[in-house]
Amino acid sequence: MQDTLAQVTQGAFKLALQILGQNADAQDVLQDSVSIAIVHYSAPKSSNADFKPWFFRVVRNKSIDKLRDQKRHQSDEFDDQVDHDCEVKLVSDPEQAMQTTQLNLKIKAALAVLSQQQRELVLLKDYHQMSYLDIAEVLDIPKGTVMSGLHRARLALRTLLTETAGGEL
Amino acid sequence: MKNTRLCEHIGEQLSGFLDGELSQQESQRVAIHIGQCESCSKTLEQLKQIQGAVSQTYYPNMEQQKMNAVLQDLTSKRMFDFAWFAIVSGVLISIVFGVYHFWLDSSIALYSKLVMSLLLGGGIGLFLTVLRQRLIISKTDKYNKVDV
Repeated sequence: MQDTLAQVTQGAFKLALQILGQNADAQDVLQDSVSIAIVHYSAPKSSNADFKPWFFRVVRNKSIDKLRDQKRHQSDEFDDQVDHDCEVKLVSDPEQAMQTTQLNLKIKAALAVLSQQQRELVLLKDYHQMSYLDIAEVLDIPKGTVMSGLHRARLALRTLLTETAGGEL
Repeated sequence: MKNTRLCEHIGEQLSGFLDGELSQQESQRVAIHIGQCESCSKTLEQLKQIQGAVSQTYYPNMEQQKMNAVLQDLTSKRMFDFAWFAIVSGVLISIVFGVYHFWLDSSIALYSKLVMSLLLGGGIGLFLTVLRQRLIISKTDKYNKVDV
Protein backbone atom coordinates (compact mmCIF):
# COMPACT_ATOMS: atom_id res chain seq x y z
CA MET A 1 0.00 0.00 0.00
CA GLN A 2 2.81 2.33 0.97
CA ASP A 3 4.48 1.55 -2.38
CA THR A 4 1.33 2.50 -4.26
CA LEU A 5 1.09 5.73 -2.32
CA ALA A 6 4.78 6.45 -2.98
CA GLN A 7 4.17 5.93 -6.72
CA VAL A 8 1.22 8.32 -6.67
CA THR A 9 3.17 11.04 -4.85
CA GLN A 10 6.25 10.62 -7.07
CA GLY A 11 3.97 10.76 -10.12
CA ALA A 12 2.27 13.85 -8.73
CA PHE A 13 5.67 15.46 -8.13
CA LYS A 14 6.61 14.79 -11.76
CA LEU A 15 3.32 16.28 -12.96
CA ALA A 16 4.10 19.45 -11.00
CA LEU A 17 7.62 19.40 -12.45
CA GLN A 18 6.24 18.96 -15.96
CA ILE A 19 3.96 21.98 -15.50
CA LEU A 20 6.37 24.21 -13.56
CA GLY A 21 9.77 23.07 -14.82
CA GLN A 22 11.49 23.78 -11.49
CA ASN A 23 12.33 21.20 -8.86
CA ALA A 24 11.89 23.52 -5.87
CA ASP A 25 8.52 24.80 -7.13
CA ALA A 26 7.29 21.25 -7.72
CA GLN A 27 8.27 20.27 -4.18
CA ASP A 28 6.41 23.28 -2.76
CA VAL A 29 3.32 22.35 -4.75
CA LEU A 30 3.48 18.73 -3.61
CA GLN A 31 3.79 19.80 0.03
CA ASP A 32 0.82 22.19 -0.29
CA SER A 33 -1.23 19.50 -2.02
CA VAL A 34 -0.50 16.97 0.71
CA SER A 35 -1.69 19.50 3.30
CA ILE A 36 -4.96 19.83 1.35
CA ALA A 37 -5.30 16.03 1.12
CA ILE A 38 -4.91 15.77 4.89
CA VAL A 39 -7.47 18.36 5.95
CA HIS A 40 -9.95 18.37 3.04
CA TYR A 41 -13.12 16.61 4.11
CA SER A 42 -13.90 15.31 0.62
CA ALA A 43 -10.42 13.90 -0.02
CA PRO A 44 -10.55 10.19 -0.83
CA LYS A 45 -8.46 7.97 1.45
CA SER A 46 -4.91 7.58 0.20
CA SER A 47 -5.47 3.82 -0.11
CA ASN A 48 -8.48 4.39 -2.39
CA ALA A 49 -8.25 4.15 -6.21
CA ASP A 50 -9.98 7.56 -6.45
CA PHE A 51 -7.13 9.17 -4.58
CA LYS A 52 -4.74 9.36 -7.55
CA PRO A 53 -6.97 11.43 -9.93
CA TRP A 54 -8.16 13.58 -7.01
CA PHE A 55 -4.60 14.25 -5.85
CA PHE A 56 -3.33 14.87 -9.39
CA ARG A 57 -6.12 17.39 -9.86
CA VAL A 58 -5.13 19.25 -6.71
CA VAL A 59 -1.45 19.19 -7.77
CA ARG A 60 -2.34 20.39 -11.26
CA ASN A 61 -4.48 23.27 -9.95
CA LYS A 62 -1.84 24.26 -7.42
CA SER A 63 0.84 24.18 -10.13
CA ILE A 64 -1.23 26.45 -12.36
CA ASP A 65 -1.80 28.80 -9.39
CA LYS A 66 1.93 28.97 -8.90
CA LEU A 67 2.55 29.58 -12.58
CA ARG A 68 0.08 32.45 -12.52
CA ASP A 69 1.69 33.86 -9.40
CA GLN A 70 5.10 33.83 -10.98
CA LYS A 71 3.80 35.10 -14.32
CA ARG A 72 6.08 32.69 -16.06
CA HIS A 73 3.66 31.28 -18.54
CA GLN A 74 6.17 31.03 -21.36
CA SER A 75 6.63 27.58 -22.77
CA ASP A 76 10.36 27.98 -23.49
CA GLU A 77 11.14 28.07 -19.77
CA PHE A 78 9.32 24.80 -19.36
CA ASP A 79 12.16 22.49 -20.15
CA ASP A 80 15.25 24.45 -19.14
CA GLN A 81 15.60 23.17 -15.61
CA VAL A 82 14.26 19.74 -16.39
CA ASP A 83 16.85 19.26 -19.10
CA HIS A 84 19.63 19.83 -16.61
CA ASP A 85 18.05 17.23 -14.39
CA CYS A 86 17.93 14.78 -17.28
CA GLU A 87 21.68 14.61 -17.34
CA VAL A 88 21.60 13.03 -13.90
CA LYS A 89 20.18 9.82 -15.33
CA LEU A 90 22.87 7.21 -15.73
CA VAL A 91 22.86 4.82 -18.65
CA SER A 92 25.68 2.31 -18.85
CA ASP A 93 26.16 2.48 -22.65
CA PRO A 94 27.45 5.98 -23.58
CA GLU A 95 26.07 5.79 -27.14
CA GLN A 96 22.68 4.72 -25.86
CA ALA A 97 22.89 7.44 -23.21
CA MET A 98 23.46 10.08 -25.89
CA GLN A 99 20.60 8.83 -28.05
CA THR A 100 18.29 8.67 -25.03
CA THR A 101 19.19 12.21 -23.99
CA GLN A 102 18.73 13.49 -27.55
CA LEU A 103 15.32 11.85 -27.82
CA ASN A 104 14.43 13.26 -24.39
CA LEU A 105 15.35 16.75 -25.49
CA LYS A 106 13.48 16.38 -28.77
CA ILE A 107 10.30 15.16 -27.09
CA LYS A 108 10.46 17.82 -24.37
CA ALA A 109 11.12 20.58 -26.87
CA ALA A 110 8.12 19.44 -28.93
CA LEU A 111 5.92 19.15 -25.82
CA ALA A 112 6.92 22.66 -24.81
CA VAL A 113 5.50 24.04 -28.06
CA LEU A 114 2.08 22.49 -27.46
CA SER A 115 -0.62 24.38 -25.60
CA GLN A 116 -0.85 23.84 -21.83
CA GLN A 117 -3.85 21.53 -22.13
CA GLN A 118 -2.46 19.54 -25.05
CA ARG A 119 0.79 19.00 -23.14
CA GLU A 120 -1.14 17.88 -20.06
CA LEU A 121 -3.29 15.49 -22.10
CA VAL A 122 -0.27 13.82 -23.70
CA LEU A 123 1.69 13.60 -20.44
CA LEU A 124 -1.23 12.33 -18.35
CA LYS A 125 -1.99 9.60 -20.89
CA ASP A 126 1.38 8.59 -22.31
CA TYR A 127 3.67 9.36 -19.37
CA HIS A 128 1.41 8.87 -16.33
CA GLN A 129 -0.64 6.10 -18.03
CA MET A 130 -3.98 7.39 -16.74
CA SER A 131 -7.34 6.32 -18.14
CA TYR A 132 -9.51 8.82 -20.07
CA LEU A 133 -11.91 8.91 -17.12
CA ASP A 134 -9.13 9.84 -14.69
CA ILE A 135 -7.70 12.42 -17.12
CA ALA A 136 -11.16 14.01 -17.39
CA GLU A 137 -11.24 14.18 -13.58
CA VAL A 138 -7.76 15.72 -13.34
CA LEU A 139 -8.36 18.34 -16.05
CA ASP A 140 -12.02 18.91 -15.14
CA ILE A 141 -13.23 18.35 -18.71
CA PRO A 142 -15.86 15.96 -20.11
CA LYS A 143 -14.56 12.44 -20.80
CA GLY A 144 -15.62 12.75 -24.45
CA THR A 145 -13.29 15.74 -24.90
CA VAL A 146 -10.27 13.76 -23.72
CA MET A 147 -10.05 11.49 -26.78
CA SER A 148 -10.48 14.27 -29.35
CA GLY A 149 -8.12 16.64 -27.53
CA LEU A 150 -5.53 13.93 -27.04
CA HIS A 151 -5.69 12.93 -30.71
CA ARG A 152 -5.20 16.53 -31.84
CA ALA A 153 -2.32 16.91 -29.37
CA ARG A 154 -0.63 13.74 -30.64
CA LEU A 155 -1.03 14.83 -34.26
CA ALA A 156 0.48 18.22 -33.39
CA LEU A 157 3.34 16.44 -31.63
CA ARG A 158 3.83 14.22 -34.66
CA THR A 159 4.02 17.25 -36.94
CA LEU A 160 6.56 18.92 -34.65
CA LEU A 161 8.71 15.80 -34.37
CA THR A 162 8.52 15.13 -38.10
CA GLU A 163 9.59 18.72 -38.86
CA THR A 164 12.64 18.47 -36.59
CA ALA A 165 13.51 15.03 -37.99
CA GLY A 166 13.30 16.34 -41.58
CA GLY A 167 10.26 14.34 -42.62
CA GLU A 168 11.04 11.12 -40.73
CA LEU A 169 9.68 10.35 -37.27
CA MET B 1 -6.53 3.26 -50.07
CA LYS B 2 -6.63 7.03 -50.24
CA ASN B 3 -7.79 9.34 -47.50
CA THR B 4 -11.56 8.95 -47.44
CA ARG B 5 -14.45 10.26 -45.42
CA LEU B 6 -14.17 7.09 -43.38
CA CYS B 7 -10.59 8.07 -42.44
CA GLU B 8 -11.87 11.44 -41.23
CA HIS B 9 -14.61 9.69 -39.32
CA ILE B 10 -12.14 7.22 -37.75
CA GLY B 11 -9.79 10.15 -36.90
CA GLU B 12 -9.65 10.54 -33.13
CA GLN B 13 -10.76 6.92 -32.66
CA LEU B 14 -7.22 5.93 -33.67
CA SER B 15 -6.05 7.39 -30.35
CA GLY B 16 -8.90 5.67 -28.51
CA PHE B 17 -7.94 2.41 -30.24
CA LEU B 18 -4.29 2.83 -29.28
CA ASP B 19 -5.24 3.49 -25.65
CA GLY B 20 -7.75 0.64 -25.45
CA GLU B 21 -10.55 3.09 -24.64
CA LEU B 22 -13.03 2.12 -27.38
CA SER B 23 -16.01 -0.18 -27.08
CA GLN B 24 -15.58 -3.64 -28.60
CA GLN B 25 -17.68 -2.63 -31.61
CA GLU B 26 -15.74 0.60 -32.23
CA SER B 27 -12.48 -1.20 -31.75
CA GLN B 28 -13.38 -3.83 -34.35
CA ARG B 29 -14.42 -1.15 -36.81
CA VAL B 30 -11.08 0.66 -36.41
CA ALA B 31 -9.15 -2.63 -36.64
CA ILE B 32 -10.88 -3.50 -39.93
CA HIS B 33 -10.24 0.00 -41.30
CA ILE B 34 -6.54 0.11 -40.49
CA GLY B 35 -6.19 -3.32 -42.10
CA GLN B 36 -7.40 -1.74 -45.34
CA CYS B 37 -6.09 1.83 -45.10
CA GLU B 38 -2.36 2.42 -45.44
CA SER B 39 -2.59 6.06 -44.36
CA CYS B 40 -4.43 5.36 -41.09
CA SER B 41 -2.23 2.35 -40.41
CA LYS B 42 0.85 4.58 -40.78
CA THR B 43 -0.67 7.24 -38.52
CA LEU B 44 -1.40 4.62 -35.86
CA GLU B 45 2.18 3.36 -36.07
CA GLN B 46 3.51 6.92 -35.65
CA LEU B 47 1.20 7.56 -32.69
CA LYS B 48 2.49 4.34 -31.12
CA GLN B 49 6.08 5.54 -31.56
CA ILE B 50 5.24 8.91 -30.02
CA GLN B 51 3.49 7.21 -27.12
CA GLY B 52 6.52 5.00 -26.53
CA ALA B 53 8.91 7.95 -26.69
CA VAL B 54 6.84 10.09 -24.29
CA SER B 55 6.51 7.21 -21.83
CA GLN B 56 10.31 6.87 -21.79
CA THR B 57 10.93 10.58 -21.25
CA TYR B 58 12.99 11.11 -18.16
CA TYR B 59 11.91 13.27 -15.25
CA PRO B 60 13.77 12.99 -11.94
CA ASN B 61 12.14 11.64 -8.80
CA MET B 62 11.73 13.83 -5.75
CA GLU B 63 14.55 13.26 -3.26
CA GLN B 64 13.74 10.20 -1.17
CA GLN B 65 14.26 11.97 2.15
CA LYS B 66 11.82 14.74 1.25
CA MET B 67 9.35 12.25 -0.18
CA ASN B 68 9.44 10.19 3.03
CA ALA B 69 8.52 13.30 5.01
CA VAL B 70 5.57 13.91 2.66
CA LEU B 71 4.43 10.29 2.94
CA GLN B 72 4.54 10.48 6.73
CA ASP B 73 2.28 13.53 6.57
CA LEU B 74 -0.19 11.64 4.39
CA THR B 75 -0.14 8.57 6.62
CA SER B 76 -0.96 10.82 9.56
CA LYS B 77 -4.32 11.51 7.87
CA ARG B 78 -5.41 8.15 9.30
CA MET B 79 -4.77 9.52 12.81
CA PHE B 80 -6.79 12.61 11.90
CA ASP B 81 -9.72 10.41 10.71
CA PHE B 82 -9.42 8.17 13.78
CA ALA B 83 -9.50 11.18 16.12
CA TRP B 84 -12.74 12.39 14.51
CA PHE B 85 -14.21 8.89 14.68
CA ALA B 86 -13.36 8.69 18.42
CA ILE B 87 -14.93 12.08 19.17
CA VAL B 88 -18.16 11.34 17.23
CA SER B 89 -18.44 7.84 18.80
CA GLY B 90 -17.93 9.29 22.29
CA VAL B 91 -20.65 11.90 21.79
CA LEU B 92 -23.12 9.34 20.37
CA ILE B 93 -22.52 6.84 23.19
CA SER B 94 -22.99 9.62 25.78
CA ILE B 95 -26.30 10.65 24.19
CA VAL B 96 -27.62 7.06 24.05
CA PHE B 97 -26.66 6.34 27.67
CA GLY B 98 -27.96 9.73 28.84
CA VAL B 99 -31.35 9.16 27.21
CA TYR B 100 -31.52 5.59 28.54
CA HIS B 101 -30.86 6.63 32.15
CA PHE B 102 -33.15 9.65 31.87
CA TRP B 103 -36.11 7.45 30.85
CA LEU B 104 -35.38 4.88 33.57
CA ASP B 105 -35.14 7.51 36.33
CA SER B 106 -38.37 7.09 38.38
CA SER B 107 -37.92 10.40 40.24
CA ILE B 108 -38.69 12.40 37.07
CA ALA B 109 -42.33 12.89 36.11
CA LEU B 110 -43.52 11.37 32.83
CA TYR B 111 -44.55 14.73 31.32
CA SER B 112 -41.05 16.11 32.06
CA LYS B 113 -39.55 13.13 30.27
CA LEU B 114 -41.84 13.70 27.27
CA VAL B 115 -41.12 17.45 27.08
CA MET B 116 -37.38 16.96 27.43
CA SER B 117 -37.42 14.17 24.84
CA LEU B 118 -39.35 16.35 22.37
CA LEU B 119 -36.91 19.24 22.86
CA LEU B 120 -33.89 16.99 22.47
CA GLY B 121 -35.40 15.10 19.53
CA GLY B 122 -36.27 18.37 17.81
CA GLY B 123 -32.75 19.69 18.36
CA ILE B 124 -31.19 16.54 16.94
CA GLY B 125 -33.65 16.59 14.01
CA LEU B 126 -32.73 20.18 13.15
CA PHE B 127 -29.03 19.41 13.43
CA LEU B 128 -29.35 16.39 11.11
CA THR B 129 -31.36 18.43 8.56
CA VAL B 130 -28.68 21.13 8.42
CA LEU B 131 -25.95 18.47 8.32
CA ARG B 132 -27.68 16.74 5.40
CA GLN B 133 -27.96 20.00 3.47
CA ARG B 134 -24.30 20.77 4.08
CA LEU B 135 -23.27 17.31 2.91
CA ILE B 136 -25.31 17.65 -0.29
CA ILE B 137 -23.69 21.04 -0.97
CA SER B 138 -20.24 19.67 -0.26
CA LYS B 139 -20.80 16.87 -2.79
CA THR B 140 -21.73 19.25 -5.57
CA ASP B 141 -18.76 21.51 -4.81
CA LYS B 142 -16.17 19.07 -3.61
CA TYR B 143 -13.11 21.10 -4.60
CA ASN B 144 -14.27 24.41 -3.19
CA LYS B 145 -11.10 24.80 -1.18
CA VAL B 146 -8.88 24.37 -4.22
CA ASP B 147 -7.96 27.65 -5.83
CA VAL B 148 -8.27 27.57 -9.61
